Amino acid sequence: MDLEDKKLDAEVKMRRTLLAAERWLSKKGVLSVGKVFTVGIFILLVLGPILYLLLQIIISWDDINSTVFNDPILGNEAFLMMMRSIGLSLKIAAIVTVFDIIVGVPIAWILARYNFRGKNILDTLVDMPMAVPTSALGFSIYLFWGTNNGISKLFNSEVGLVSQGTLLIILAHVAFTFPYVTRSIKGIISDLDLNLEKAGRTLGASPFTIARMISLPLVKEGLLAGIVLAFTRSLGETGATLIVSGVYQTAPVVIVSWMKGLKIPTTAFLAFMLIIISLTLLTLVRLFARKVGLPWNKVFPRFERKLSSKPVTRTRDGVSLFLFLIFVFVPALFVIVFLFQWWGGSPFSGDPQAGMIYQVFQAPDQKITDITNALVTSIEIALIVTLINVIIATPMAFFISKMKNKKLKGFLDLLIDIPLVIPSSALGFSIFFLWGSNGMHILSPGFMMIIVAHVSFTYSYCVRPLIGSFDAIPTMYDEAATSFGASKFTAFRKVTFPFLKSGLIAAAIMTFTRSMSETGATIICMGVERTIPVLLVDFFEASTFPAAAFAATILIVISFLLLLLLRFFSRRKRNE
Amino acid sequence: MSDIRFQHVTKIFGRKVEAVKDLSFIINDGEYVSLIGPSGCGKTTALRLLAGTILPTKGQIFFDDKHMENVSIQDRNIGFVFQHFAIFPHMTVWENVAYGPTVRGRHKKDIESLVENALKSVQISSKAELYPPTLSAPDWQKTALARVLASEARILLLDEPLGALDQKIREEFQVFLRDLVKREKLTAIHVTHDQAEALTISDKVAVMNKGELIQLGSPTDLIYNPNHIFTSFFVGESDFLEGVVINDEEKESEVKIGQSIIRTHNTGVSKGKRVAVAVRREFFQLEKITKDADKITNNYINGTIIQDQFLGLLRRVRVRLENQQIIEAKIHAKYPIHFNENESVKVGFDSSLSRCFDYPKEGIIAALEM
Repeated sequence: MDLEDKKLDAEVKMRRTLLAAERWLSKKGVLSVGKVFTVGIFILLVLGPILYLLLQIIISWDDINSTVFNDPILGNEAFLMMMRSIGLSLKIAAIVTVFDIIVGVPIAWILARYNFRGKNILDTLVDMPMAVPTSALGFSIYLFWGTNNGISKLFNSEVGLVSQGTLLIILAHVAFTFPYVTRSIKGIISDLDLNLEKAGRTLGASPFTIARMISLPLVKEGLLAGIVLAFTRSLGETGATLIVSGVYQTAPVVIVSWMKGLKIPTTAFLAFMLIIISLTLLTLVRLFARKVGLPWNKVFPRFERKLSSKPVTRTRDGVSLFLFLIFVFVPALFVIVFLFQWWGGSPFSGDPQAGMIYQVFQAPDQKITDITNALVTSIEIALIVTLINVIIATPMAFFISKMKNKKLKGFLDLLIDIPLVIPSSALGFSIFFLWGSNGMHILSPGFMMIIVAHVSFTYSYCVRPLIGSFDAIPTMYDEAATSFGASKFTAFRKVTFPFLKSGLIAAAIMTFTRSMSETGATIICMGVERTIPVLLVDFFEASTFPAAAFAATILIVISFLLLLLLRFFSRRKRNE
Repeated sequence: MSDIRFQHVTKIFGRKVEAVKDLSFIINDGEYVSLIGPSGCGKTTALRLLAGTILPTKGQIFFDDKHMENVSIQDRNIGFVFQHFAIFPHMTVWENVAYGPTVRGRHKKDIESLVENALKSVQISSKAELYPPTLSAPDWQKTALARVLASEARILLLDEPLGALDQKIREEFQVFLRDLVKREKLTAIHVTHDQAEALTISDKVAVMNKGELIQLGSPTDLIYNPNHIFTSFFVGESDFLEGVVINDEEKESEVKIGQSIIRTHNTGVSKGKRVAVAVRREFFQLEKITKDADKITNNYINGTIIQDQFLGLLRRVRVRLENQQIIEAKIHAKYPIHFNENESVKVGFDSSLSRCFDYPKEGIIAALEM
C-alpha cells in the first residue's frame, strides 16, 4: 500500500513537472522565441544558400564577368553554352508540360469521376513515377526506347527506336512529371459540387460545355499549380536526364558536369539563372493564377454536343489510358523485364559474363558490395533527413496554419514552395557554395553535406502536407482543452498531436521517398560515398547495364513499398 | 402548355430499393404543386425523375403528351433550383443568368434581353456585375431563379429551395416565389420538408410515403378533408380514437369509443366496423366539468388531465380518456383557461371536422410507419 502510494506520488509529481514545463513553454515570450527560431532554421537551411548565391554573384561580379563573358581563351563561350542549355531545357519543359496536360487531365478525370474495378491500382500506378528515383526511371525508359532490348524487338530492329537526345528526354520527363498535373487536380475534381454540373445540364449545356465552362475554371488554380510543378521539375531534373540526354546537355546536366570540372564561378552563374527562372515562374503563377481568365465564352452547341457523345468520350478515355500505358507504365517498369532478360547472361550472345549474376555477384569488382553500401548510405541519409525535417517542419507548419496575418501567411507559403520548384542541382550547388570551402567552410562535400542538401529540398515535401493536416483539425478541440486549463503546449500534445499522427507519418514517408530518390543535388554535394541513385548513374556510365538494372529494380521495389505505405496512411487520415 | 403526367412510374435503385412505386398523377399547366412526405418517401426521387437525372425503371413520364424517356436532361427545358442554389461561383450574377441561353447558342441580343428581363423579374438587376461569393443567400436564391427564367424553362423544379434561408426571409420568399411562378405562368413542382411552406405556397400538395402517392389535393383538403389515415397523421398532428361504428347515416356515423358514443363525419365506413376516428389536435375542445356549465353538450368523451403545458400561442394539454387512451389537445392561447392535474374534463370536437377510417389490420402504429 505504502509502495503504491509512493508510486502514485511520483507519477503525480512527474506529471506536474511536465505540465509546469509546458506552461513555461507556452509563455508568450518563449513562444515568440520559438517562432523566430523556426523561421530562422528555415531561412538558414533553405533560403540561406540561395540568398548567399545571389549575394556572391553580385559581390564577385568581376570574377564572373571574366570567366563567363570575357574568358581570355574562350571569350563568352561559357555564356553561350549556358544560354543553349537553358534554351534546350525550357523548350523540353514546355513540350513536356503540354504532353503532361494531354495525358494527366483526362486521367485525373477518370480517377475522380469513374468507379471501376482496379481504380485503386491505376491510382497507385499514376503516383508511382513520382516516388521512383528518376535515375531508375530514366534508365528504364532508355532501355525501353533507346536500346535493342525494348520496343525495337517488336520491329525486329537491331538498334533502339529512339536514340539519346531531346526526344528521349521528353519521353522520360513526361513519365515522371505528368503525375504532378494529375495529382493537383484529381482531388479538386472529386470535391466539386456535382449540383453545379447538374444545374448546367438542366440549363441546356452538354457535358463537354459544362466541363469547359464550369468544371475547368474551378480547377484552374490547382491545374496551374500542377503545371508549374511539372514544368519546373522537367526544367530541373538531373538523374534521368544524365542517362537519356547523350550529347544534348540540359542546364542541370551542365551544372553537374561543370561542377565535376570545378568551374565554380560559371556553375554559380548558371545555377543562379536557373533559380531566377524557377522563382519568377512560381511567383507569377502565385500572383496571377486567380486572375487568369478563360476568355473563351463562345459556345458551339452542336459541335460540343458531338464531343460529349459516348463514342467520343469513350475514345478519349481509351486513348489517354493507352498513352499512359505505352508512354509511362511499360517503359517505367521495363527495367524489370530487362533484368530477367539479362539474368544469367546476354540474351543475344549467351555470354554469362555479360549477365546480371556475374556482374553483380561474381565479377572481381564486387558490385554487390557497392550496391549494399550505397543502399545503406541512402537509407541512413533518408532516415536522418526525415527525422530532422519532421522536427523542424512541424512547428513551421503549425505556425503557418495558425497565422492570422493573411499577407504574411501568403508570403511564407510562397517561400515554402521554393525548394519544390528550383532545380535540385542548383539548390545543391548553392548549399555546397554556402557551407563548403567557398562560403562558411563548415562542411566539405560528403555525408553531412548531402544531409544538409536533402533537408533543404525535402523541406517543402514535409511542411506542405503538415499545413494541410493542421488546417483540417477543428480549432474547437484546442479551445475546449484550453478552457479546461491546459496550457497551449499541453493542448497541442494532448489534443492536436493525436489528430496529426497519420498526417505526420505521411509527410515523413514523402520526405524519406524524396531523399532516397534524389540525384542532382547529391552528385554535387557528395564526397566518396555514393547513394544508390547516383551509383545507378555510375553503373550506366560504365555501361554495366545488367548491374544498373539490378540497382534500379531494387529502387523501384523500395519506392513501390513506400508508396503503398503512404497510401495506407493518407487513406487513414482521410477516414479520421 | 406544360402539363406533366406520371403513368405507373416505378424507380428501383440497385436490386431492391423501390424509391418510387407505381406513381401516377397529373399536374396541370400553371399549377404550383408541392411534394411532401417523410425523408425517404420518394419525393426527391420523383423530382429527379422529372429532371431526367435518373430514368424510371418502369412506367412513363409525359410532358404535354410527349414521352420523356429518350429526352436527355439538357433537352427537357426544365429549370432546376437546388437547395444550395448551385450558382456558378466563378461567374458574375449576369453570366450565371446568361448561361442557359448562351449554351443553347442564342444570339447575343436575345441573350441580353432575356437576362435583363429575368434580372428585373426577380429584382436583382443592381447586383448583376457581382460575383456570387460576395452575395448573401437570398441573392443566390434570386440568381438561381433568374437563371431559370432566362433559360425560358416552362417547368420549374425546386428541391428544398428555401431550406437554406432564415425563417423570416423564408416566409417572404414563399410569397415571392408563388407570385413569380404565377406571373411567369410556370408549372412548379416544389419538394419540401416544411409542411407549412407547402400549404402556404401551393395550389396542390402531394403527400407521399414509402414511394407511394397517398393523397394529391388542395392545402385545405389535406387539413379538412384527408382521405387517408396517413394524411391526417402526417399533415399537422392528429389523434386516433379507436372505436366501433354502431350507426351509419348519410352524413354522420355514430362510433362507440369505450363507454361513450360520439358522432363523426361519415367517410363510407359501415356499421359494425372497427374504426379509427382521426381528430386534429387543434380541433379538440376541452371543458371543465362543473355543475352549471355544459357547453359541449352532445359530442364528447370524459377524461382526466395529465398535464397542461404552455407553448406560447398554444397550450398542449395531455388528457387520459375514460378508455385509458391518451390524447393531446392543442388549445389556442386566446382561451386563458388553465387545467390542473387530475382534473376531470370533457373532450369534445365538431363532428364534421373529424374523419373516420377503417381500423388498419396491422395496427395504427404499423400503418403509419414512415
